[in-house]
Amino acid sequence: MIRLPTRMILLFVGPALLIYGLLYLLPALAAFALSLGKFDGISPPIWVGLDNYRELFSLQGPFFQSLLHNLFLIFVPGILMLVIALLFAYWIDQGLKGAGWYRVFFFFPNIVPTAATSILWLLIFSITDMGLVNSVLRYLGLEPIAFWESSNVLWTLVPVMVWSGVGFFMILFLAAMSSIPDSLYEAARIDGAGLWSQFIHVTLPLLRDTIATCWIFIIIGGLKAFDLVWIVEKEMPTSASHTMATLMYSEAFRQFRIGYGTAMSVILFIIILGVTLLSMRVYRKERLEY
Amino acid sequence: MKRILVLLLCFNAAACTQVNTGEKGARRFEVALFEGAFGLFYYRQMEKQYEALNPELNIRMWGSPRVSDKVRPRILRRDPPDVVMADLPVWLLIKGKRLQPLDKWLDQPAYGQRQGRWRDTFLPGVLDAFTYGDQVYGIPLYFGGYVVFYNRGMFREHGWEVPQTWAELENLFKSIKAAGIAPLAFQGKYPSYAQRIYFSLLQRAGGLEAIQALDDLAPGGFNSPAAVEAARLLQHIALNYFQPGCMAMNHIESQSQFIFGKTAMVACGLWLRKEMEDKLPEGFELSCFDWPPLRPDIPYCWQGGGGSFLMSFVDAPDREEGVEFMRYMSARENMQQWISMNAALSPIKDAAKGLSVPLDLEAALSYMDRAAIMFTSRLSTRYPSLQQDHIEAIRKLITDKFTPQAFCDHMEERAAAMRRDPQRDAFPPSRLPEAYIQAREAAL
Repeated sequence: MIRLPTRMILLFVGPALLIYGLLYLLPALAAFALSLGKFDGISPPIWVGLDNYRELFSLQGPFFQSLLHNLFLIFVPGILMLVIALLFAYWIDQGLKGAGWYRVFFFFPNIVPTAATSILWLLIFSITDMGLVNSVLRYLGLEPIAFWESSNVLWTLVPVMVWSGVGFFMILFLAAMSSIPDSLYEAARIDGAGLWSQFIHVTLPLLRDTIATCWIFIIIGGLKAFDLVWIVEKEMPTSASHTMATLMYSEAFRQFRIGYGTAMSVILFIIILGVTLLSMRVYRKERLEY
Repeated sequence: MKRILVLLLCFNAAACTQVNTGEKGARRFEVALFEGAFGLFYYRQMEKQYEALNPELNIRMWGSPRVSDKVRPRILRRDPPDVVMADLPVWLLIKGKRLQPLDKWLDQPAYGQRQGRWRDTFLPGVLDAFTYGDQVYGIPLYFGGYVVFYNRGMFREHGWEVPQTWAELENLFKSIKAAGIAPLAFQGKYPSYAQRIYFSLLQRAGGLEAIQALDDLAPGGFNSPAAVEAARLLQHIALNYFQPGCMAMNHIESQSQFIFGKTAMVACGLWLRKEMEDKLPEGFELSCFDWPPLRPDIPYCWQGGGGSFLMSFVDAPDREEGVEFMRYMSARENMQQWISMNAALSPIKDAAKGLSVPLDLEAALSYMDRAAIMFTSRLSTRYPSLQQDHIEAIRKLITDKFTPQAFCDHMEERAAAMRRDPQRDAFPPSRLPEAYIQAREAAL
């Protein structure tokens, strides 16, 4: 192996490190410093120590509530997405007729921009005569439902998130399923396993890494949830619908509590860092060989 | 090479000549505007006229519904446009000495006048919203108030009358409901519309003093008997007379419900006509009334005041030019164009005189004449986070998640926490206007 002199290494790595330091590390450190102050963006910041963090961690405060909303948006649509994606992937992998079309059909919502997705579903669930679902309810003689009322928003977002996310996870599962050797299924069949048993005892265990990957995507996506909530709530989420990111934006840029908003972003960073480290630990575990 | 150098020098000289001789584009300034219900038509017209009058001027005018977001980073890097109309943290900007006081210009004659002061051409009190410490930091181009809109045709058809008392209003609500129509449309996605109703009811229940108690964070202001009464009435109206499902509607959806006859009324600002003009059916007789009085000893005040405020910044390079343009836009003759183009009222005295205005504005003008004073809450400019809490608490009040007493106690607690904050901004206590004191004495 050729050993490069340290100077040469620095010459190659230096520019990248410099850019990373200037555009990422420095602002991150500045953000941490800002989180220890009271700053409105115009007047000079005032040092308040850990006051912003104390306010954040109050159980009655909006931050804790918004964290619960994030957890809801991670686990409720997440579980549904994975179950549905797994089923679709399994059917397609079993050689369902028109599998190619189904792939495109299920994946398509994933490439629709969030703004367009939001507007589409705003109309579908609208309380007015334009709302598809409520029109059906009215036709059936039932009371319409105020799906987009703030206290119902998180539940209403579940089908939206499932619709738009399921295709992506289906593709991941399909890729993983296609790499499972046929010989394993053959052996299972010889042992008398039916389709269900094959799925439970062969497919599912061998998808463990993919499922872990999917959960990491879901958790990080759920923690950062912003755009959908922001759009359907007309840029004014309430205590019933705020996520950590929308609350952070509202506090920093609407209430001009930049110090408090930055403290939230520091906490969000720590949580995402924790999830990332956890995922690295999962990957470091012994991988399945077949 | 020599030839190229000579050519470049010639170009340079030509460019310099153009700047120095005051030709078109020599003087310039930038105007950034909020593009809302009124669009930019009036401002574009003013730009055209002003440039025609001043050929050496080049105005860079732009508008956006998101102008605040676009202007904010420029304010932070001290490169703001010369004239701005946007929803900005006014008090923070004043405190940070970033907004340009306009008194120097306001004490000079209005555009096209030789005598008098520009400030005296405005209706009484409309400059108050942007007045801090006796200095004025913004001038309004719009004059509006909050009212209840109704379709006069629909009222005539059902034999309904505009209510003059609270009992009549209650009866009206019941009659409308009995006719199978929802009484009030409501812009549920924006509970701040209900906050406006609350302020009107609070004034009816406790006078201007009750509004000022909120503005001043006076102890007991948020849970005074008047505040509880206003909260009780607002909740009563919301739970019984708001259109079912309205909390899932945005402003356009809910106002369309009113226009399409699914509801009989909607509470809104006077911009409603312009905002919904594309949807107004032929023959729709849009008119309005104000919330009726609750107590005979409290003089009638109308919630409203100046809007579409224009401001300038101390670090805007061409603010002098910008303020002159503000002065031009607020000239009485030009304000008449504003009224005609936007079907809206103007903050300039007598601007509507001799003009024919739509039914709703006619009704609004009559309320303006009757009112002892116009009032507006200053909670949003003084305490943005408390304002946010108030709106959120109002959402809970109108969806029955707070009782009126719990709503008031919650807000009082929030106000007390703010009072305890040693770093909070302290404002001089509000003063009751002379006109109000006289009206109050007369009512007693």
